[in-house]
Amino acid sequence: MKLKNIIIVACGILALASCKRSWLDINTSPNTLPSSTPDAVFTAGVNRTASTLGPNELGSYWSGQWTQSSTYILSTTIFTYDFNNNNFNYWDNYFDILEDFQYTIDNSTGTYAYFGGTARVMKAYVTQMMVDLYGNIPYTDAFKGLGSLAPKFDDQKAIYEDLIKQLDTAITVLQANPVTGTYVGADIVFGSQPNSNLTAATAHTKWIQFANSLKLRLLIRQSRIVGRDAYIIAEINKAAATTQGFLPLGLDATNNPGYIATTGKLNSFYENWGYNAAGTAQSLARYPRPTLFLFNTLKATNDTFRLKRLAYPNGGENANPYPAEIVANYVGVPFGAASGYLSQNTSYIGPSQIKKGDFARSMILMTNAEVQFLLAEAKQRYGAAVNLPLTAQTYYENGVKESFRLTGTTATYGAATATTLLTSGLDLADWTASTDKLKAIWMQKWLALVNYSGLEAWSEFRRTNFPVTPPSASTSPTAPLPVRLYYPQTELASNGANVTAQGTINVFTSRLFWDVD
Amino acid sequence: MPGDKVNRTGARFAASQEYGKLKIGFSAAYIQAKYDRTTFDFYNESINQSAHIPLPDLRDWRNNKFASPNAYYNDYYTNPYFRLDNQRNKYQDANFSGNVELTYKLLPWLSAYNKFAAMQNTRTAKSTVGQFFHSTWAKSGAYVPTGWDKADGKGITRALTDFQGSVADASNTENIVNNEMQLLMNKSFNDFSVRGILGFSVYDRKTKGVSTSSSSIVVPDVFNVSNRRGENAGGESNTEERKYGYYGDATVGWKDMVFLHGSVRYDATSRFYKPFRSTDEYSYVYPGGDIAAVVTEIFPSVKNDILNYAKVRLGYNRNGNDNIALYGLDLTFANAGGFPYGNTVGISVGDVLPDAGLKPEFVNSFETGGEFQLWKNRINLDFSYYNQKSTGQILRVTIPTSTGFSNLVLNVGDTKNWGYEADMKIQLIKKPKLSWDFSVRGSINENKVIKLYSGVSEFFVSGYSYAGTYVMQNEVFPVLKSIPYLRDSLGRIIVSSATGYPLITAPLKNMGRVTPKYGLGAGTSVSYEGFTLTTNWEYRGGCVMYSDLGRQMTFTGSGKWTEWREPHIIPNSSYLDPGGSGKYIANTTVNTREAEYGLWVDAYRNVTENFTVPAWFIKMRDINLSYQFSNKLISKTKVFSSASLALYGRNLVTIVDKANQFADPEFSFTTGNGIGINNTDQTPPVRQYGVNLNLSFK
Repeated sequence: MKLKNIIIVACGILALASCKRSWLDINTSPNTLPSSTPDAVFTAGVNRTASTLGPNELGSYWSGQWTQSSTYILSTTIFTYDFNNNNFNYWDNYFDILEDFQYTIDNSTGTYAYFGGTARVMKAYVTQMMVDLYGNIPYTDAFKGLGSLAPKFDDQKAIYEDLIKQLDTAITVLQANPVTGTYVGADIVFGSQPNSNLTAATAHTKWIQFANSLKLRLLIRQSRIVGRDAYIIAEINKAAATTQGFLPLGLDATNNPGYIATTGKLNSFYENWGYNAAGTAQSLARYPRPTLFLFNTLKATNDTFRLKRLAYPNGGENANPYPAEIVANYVGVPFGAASGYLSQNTSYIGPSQIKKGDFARSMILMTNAEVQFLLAEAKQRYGAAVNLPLTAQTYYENGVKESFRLTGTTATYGAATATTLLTSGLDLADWTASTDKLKAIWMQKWLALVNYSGLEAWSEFRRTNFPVTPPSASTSPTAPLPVRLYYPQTELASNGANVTAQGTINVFTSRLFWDVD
Repeated sequence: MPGDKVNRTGARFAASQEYGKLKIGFSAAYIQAKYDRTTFDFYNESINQSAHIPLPDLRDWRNNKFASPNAYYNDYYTNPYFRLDNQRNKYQDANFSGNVELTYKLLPWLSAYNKFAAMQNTRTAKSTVGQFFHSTWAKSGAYVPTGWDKADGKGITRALTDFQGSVADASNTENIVNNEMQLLMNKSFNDFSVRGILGFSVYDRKTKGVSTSSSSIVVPDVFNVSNRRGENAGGESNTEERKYGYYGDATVGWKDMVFLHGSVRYDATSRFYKPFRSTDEYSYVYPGGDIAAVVTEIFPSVKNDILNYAKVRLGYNRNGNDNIALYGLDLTFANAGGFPYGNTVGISVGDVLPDAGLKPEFVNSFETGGEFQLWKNRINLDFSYYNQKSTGQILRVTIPTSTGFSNLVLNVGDTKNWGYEADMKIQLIKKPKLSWDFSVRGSINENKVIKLYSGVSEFFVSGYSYAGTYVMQNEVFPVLKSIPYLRDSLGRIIVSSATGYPLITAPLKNMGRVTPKYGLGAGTSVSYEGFTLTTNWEYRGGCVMYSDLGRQMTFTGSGKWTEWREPHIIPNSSYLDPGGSGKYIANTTVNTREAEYGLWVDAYRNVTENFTVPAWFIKMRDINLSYQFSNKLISKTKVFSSASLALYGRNLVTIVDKANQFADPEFSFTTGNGIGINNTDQTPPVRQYGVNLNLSFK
């Protein structure tokens, strides 16, 4: 009797035990997705690229276009160049974004093949930015996850060359796989944007034009390297030979997922430097100031209409009373000035980027003006060797006109304003009157990038050493300027051997390969 | 924080009844707790106020015109009392728990036991930020009289940003069910006594959380998500985990002199389960055994006037642990920031990469020790030595973002942990009316990371880029790394020949371990008549800590160490010869360029070695004076059977290193592995005083 009881109890326990395995099968998260289709990941990647560009203003400062108001204590990392590897960490965020593009490329099979092309273009776009900031970076050994937990660094010149090849692959993929109507909504650059006339039929054409324009950017960046001309000319001709060519006049590469009036969903430049979702001015709107040098440059060529689009008069859009829009009421701040220039008494970033209530504008990835100036420089340097149909002067003048269009100068003050500048007879504005044509191109390109492409402006400043911006008021006049950033502490801590293998980095003297002087 | 409230009430009901061989018992408890706390970093805002402003006088921001945000003197930082009152989190916990126990005596020496327990916790929370629009005068009319204004312009800079307000509601429930089924045995044969347990346990835990929030309130003080401008945001989170296990435990005693104990347990957990994974990846067996012998009984000759009891023990134990985050086996894909924008979807690849072969972690520990009683139990001694080896600890480590991910979860290798502990209790006086005893205990702990992931010798665990805890191979785990001064070969601080400031570009340096190596505790208790005085003291040391509060106080200038504000030469410093010889010249000429602000904020603050201090402390944990009312007095009241009154104080005395001007070394900014770092989220420690009255009814 007693033994039976024991056996019954034991059997009961064993019986319960046998059906246990499936009882544990609840280990899949109900809160997140285990995978994703590549189109959604592409959309995330490109929107994140645009969102990060907005607040990342280091290039705007170091190219001499912006400085800081005295309402805030002067940032010594930016204006006295006293920084270390804990500052300016663009690395982590951009590599995270590049992972999204890599995932898209790796999974772009079947009906998603189109995104294999678009993601390659975006990957090249972001990778070039990274190389321009850090020099050698992990490239072929990156994004392997468990396959390589300490990625090796690749040589910067080799990466640039491979980016051209990647863009070629992208063009091939895009030519073979135009986007289908089902997925066009995921292409928020050229496929579909709210209130635009983009159509699915022409999306892949525009991507190819963007890819060719990026190739131009990569190639012209190397144009001052001795002995590189043959390579550059060959590649430009290859790009010009495609039926699509470069970005046509009137088309910038922009990003717009459909910004909404909610915190975190506004145009990121607007939300960071302008207003919040409720239309209240952000406190950071008082931080960046157009420089005195920028205003003086514009005034020197009577480019005052564009000035009024690039900046607001003293006190900004919300100044009460709002000052008259005369040039005397636009005060720029000397670069690096630590006191005496409060935000109430100086100019704000202008309506070309920020206007109260205008939170749904597209984020600019690449201005058309820049493309025209790249074509102008190519034609000016290489003449008949490059198969570009128009003259350098035409490209140059189109570049200026494109800048006037994008900043809203043409719409507000008329198309004649651009023509006036181009026929003014002044150096660095009027092509025929300019003695150094390349300097004219560089100057107008610098002006065209103001407020839109700060990092690009800084890279071009390092390449050309033009325009010669005044030294920071907070350093000695002969203080050296940074030519790159340190590898961030986060990478040094986790990938130390490969980082130290790059040698001792001196941010003032370890130039990048395209920065010849 | 001032103004925080906590309210807790509970009721418990328990009963048991025997029916023949069956005994049933149950207990049920219900606790309700209400919290009203601020979400604001009051401490940080307070240290950013001028030291000579009488902050406590400015508490009433609603009525005191100088305390109102419209007129508060500080151009950049708000009145901390205003933010304290304006940013609140009110939440309620309703917790029900209960269990039912059944015991059935099958045989005189064998019984079956089952305990079923359940717990349900519901938390509802509402987090609010009140709306506040600054007046026009604050934004553009406020001024400093001419002559004093330094061209500052009109208007308070801080007032340009209004508080739109926001509200966030959340509801979380947690449900736990646990069942233990056991077979208990207790029998003696001849010289042997046997006690055994065979058991089976089952555990299931579910949680659900739903939240909704909105920002930008329309009508002030109505905190409801429908009272908003813009969109509603929100989310949900569901989790479930299950575990089951079988175990057996047996203790065999021989003549009450030698005890042999063994146990074995098999666990299977859903946290490591996937249908395609092999059973040894989600289930594990771990045994343990120990033997203890009362030496004075086995060899009675050892017993003498001094030593009356001696016991030695030896044990080995293996423990398995499913220490992985819930759903930690999956790489997740989440909505990228801001998405969805209407119909546009954006999904980003997750940042935490789980290793493919994740397994439970194991700890093998070995322990030996002895217990001795001397002079008829007047002195009690206990010694032990332990040695633990962990294999395959699961850590979430940072990996280079160039891999595409920022974190990796993996079984990271081997660590060893060993140490000694000793405990002594002495009964100094033992008389009927007066007794005095004293106890002291000490411990030494060491650990070492033996092996990490192949090719990697260190990981960042937690902290900041300028000071953090790291796992380093062949070092104690974890260690603290901070940015040190750059020094030349003679140990002098290298300064810039242009600014006179110390250079801040040194790489992070290992500053030492953050867990205490040495521990010493002492306590004493004196009793006379009905009075008892007890006190406990503790020392811990042999470690360092980093205080981010120190760094913040350097920025605000409220740290005493920043008081050297005249231009000066950094003592014992040198600079690199600008002539290019490569030598370091002793600094006798280069003053700090701007010691009022620049030196401290741009240089000193970034050398986090300045805020890394020894973390030893001596604390009086508590002191207690109690009086037990005599039975004569008690019997006079017909109601009580005993009564006692006690006065106590906790945390009254703390002694720390002279260099530690920052915080209590026991505070940490995280409950995870990132100990050794504290910041402005930890407010200064408090002393507690109290009275305890204990009454038992007849």
